[in-house]
Amino acid sequence: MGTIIKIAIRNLKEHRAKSLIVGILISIGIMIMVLSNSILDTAEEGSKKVFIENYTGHLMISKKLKKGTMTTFKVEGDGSQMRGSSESPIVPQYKKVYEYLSSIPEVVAVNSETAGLSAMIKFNEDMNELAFSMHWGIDPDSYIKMFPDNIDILDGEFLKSGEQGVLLNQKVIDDIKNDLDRDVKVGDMITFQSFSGGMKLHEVPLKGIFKYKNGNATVVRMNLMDIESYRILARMTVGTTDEIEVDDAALDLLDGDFDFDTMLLDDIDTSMASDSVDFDSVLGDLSKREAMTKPSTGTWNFILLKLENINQVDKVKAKIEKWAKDNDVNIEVKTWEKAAGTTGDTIKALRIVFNIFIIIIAIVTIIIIMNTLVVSIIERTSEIGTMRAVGAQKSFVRRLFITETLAISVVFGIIGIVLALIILFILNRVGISFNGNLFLEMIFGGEVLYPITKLSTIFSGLLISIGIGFFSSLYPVTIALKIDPIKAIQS
Amino acid sequence: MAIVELKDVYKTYPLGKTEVHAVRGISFEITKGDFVSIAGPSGSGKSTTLNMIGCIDTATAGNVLINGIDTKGLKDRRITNLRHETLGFIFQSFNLIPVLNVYENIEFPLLLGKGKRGNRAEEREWIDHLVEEVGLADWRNHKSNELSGGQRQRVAIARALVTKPEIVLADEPTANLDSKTGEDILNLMKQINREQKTTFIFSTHDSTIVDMADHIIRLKDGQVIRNERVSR
Repeated sequence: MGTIIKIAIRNLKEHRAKSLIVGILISIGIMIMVLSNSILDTAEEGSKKVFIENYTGHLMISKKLKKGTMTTFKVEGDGSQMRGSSESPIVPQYKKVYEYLSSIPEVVAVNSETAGLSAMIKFNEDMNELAFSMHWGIDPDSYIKMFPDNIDILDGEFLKSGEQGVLLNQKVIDDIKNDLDRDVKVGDMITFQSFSGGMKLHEVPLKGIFKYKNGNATVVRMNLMDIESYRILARMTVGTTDEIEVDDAALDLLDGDFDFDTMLLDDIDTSMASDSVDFDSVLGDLSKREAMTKPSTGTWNFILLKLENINQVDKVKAKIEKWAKDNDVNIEVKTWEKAAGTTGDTIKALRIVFNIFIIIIAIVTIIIIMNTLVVSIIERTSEIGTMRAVGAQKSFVRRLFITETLAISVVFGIIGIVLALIILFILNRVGISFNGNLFLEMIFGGEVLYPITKLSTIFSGLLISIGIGFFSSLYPVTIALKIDPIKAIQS
Repeated sequence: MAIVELKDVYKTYPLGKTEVHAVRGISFEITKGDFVSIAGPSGSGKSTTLNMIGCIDTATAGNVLINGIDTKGLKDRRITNLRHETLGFIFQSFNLIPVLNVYENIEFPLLLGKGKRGNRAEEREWIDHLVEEVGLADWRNHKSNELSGGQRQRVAIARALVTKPEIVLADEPTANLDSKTGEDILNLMKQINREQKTTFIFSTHDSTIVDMADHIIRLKDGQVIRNERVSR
């Protein structure tokens, strides 16, 4: 093997120009690969950390839908952008599920939420004076236990358990100021108008103004609302799991031949719209009454879990899925990527695009190296023929050329990796700013990206170099093996 | 005993739509230790005959036997082994490996013997002896492009001898050399032939070689016209 390496390296030196062209190509390809993979790794790690620590927890449990899936933002993939358009994604058998999840030893926090409510903030009857807002419906106690440090309260205070109220994102406050020239202050009553299953108005006190510490484009307009107000605005259906006591008299009524038609007798007094009665003055403040009705405590869109550590995700996910199957509970368990919805998918899609790009670069590199090697082999026909004539087996020739291409690809692959590491080191120091580009901020999980490099990226770069070297030598080697010893004389 | 035996050997090359009959049914035997000259004018088939004996070309018909082994139908691996162990080649154009120096070029065939290498110290001693023998002791670390034609041919001779083959084949070994260098080279080969009983087979039209040979095979138009042993 020593002879082969010696001859291979000397041949590469002898044909410096060719070696350099091929090598530079490999270096550039590997450098791009390591750079792009490192940036994507950083984006994935960044998004993962941001989402787990701020919005999704380690696992998300929601109803398994026939079409689409529930994310922490809304139902996605059901053909509609609105929540519950095809079916209501309420966690089934909520009480039972919640109790089971709370009993899992690895789980350190359980937090139920609702999501997907879009509501307009209304200031008067003028339809032009509306501000758009999206909300998470939360239970303040479990939310703060799950995400103790994900927001900065800029004014006011966090929601208190059992109180109605809303926390508005600074971005929404700014939009209202900029677009409508209105100042909204803590303590103001905010009128929300929703369109879930028909128009609904509800007044909620503004308890505070906040911003997400690791905010990005995905959550920039998301607000936090107490669950009761949320349910009123979202017209969420009452849960079916609450048990009620029914006395015998009531049961008799249900069993008897009660004539429902009598309820619709013509002689019952009815009020007509033409009577011009002011119903609002008759009924008073409907929002307070609705709040008193206390919708079902079981109507949540999803439950988020925080685990002791991230390594338990797969194990706990499998455990919950088994429990759900055994108990015939129609739920699905998602990791942060699925729970993050579009963002998680976008990073995956971006990685696929980058990988396709890298594969194209690799193929082009292989073809160029292949051509260069074929030319080199034709030029060295006499040398190969001589080697064969003096007793070199075909395997020797094969090993010689594979070694030559491997040597060039490994050496220049390493140069490519080193160049990429230098660039990454500089980028890590200065950071890549997205200058407020919301799409990029969403993809990369922040306003500035400080790329890091994983050891696996370096190894994969080296492996790809070796792969390029090996595959690009296959065809030229078959040509070299066809060279007969007689060519030593004929060339 | 015949170390080389050709039995009714033919060699035909395709040339466009026609065929060139380079060798037409030749038969002869070569005895071990002979200094053989296959002589004849250009196009007589002497190089083709030498290449078939050296197993770098195959006969279209007939049999070529080396040490009693019929080379017809042998697999590439076996033929390569035969070339490596039994035969040594000296080419007209020297055919040295350009990236190797004098010592490494001579050593090269020894490195090809997979798992059959002998004592390394003995091998080094043998290579040093050959380097001395061909008069290149001061040039051992030079690459082939730094050598004259005669020096390159000396390297080629040493390389052909390094595996201690029973047969050395030389195709027009003096064709690219001046007469003085050519004579020196031939004397060297004759000396090795005498001392080590190595069989030398030349394809040549150089009368000096023919004059030194103790077995002359003359070819014309691909046929043996004369096959004679000469007592010197």
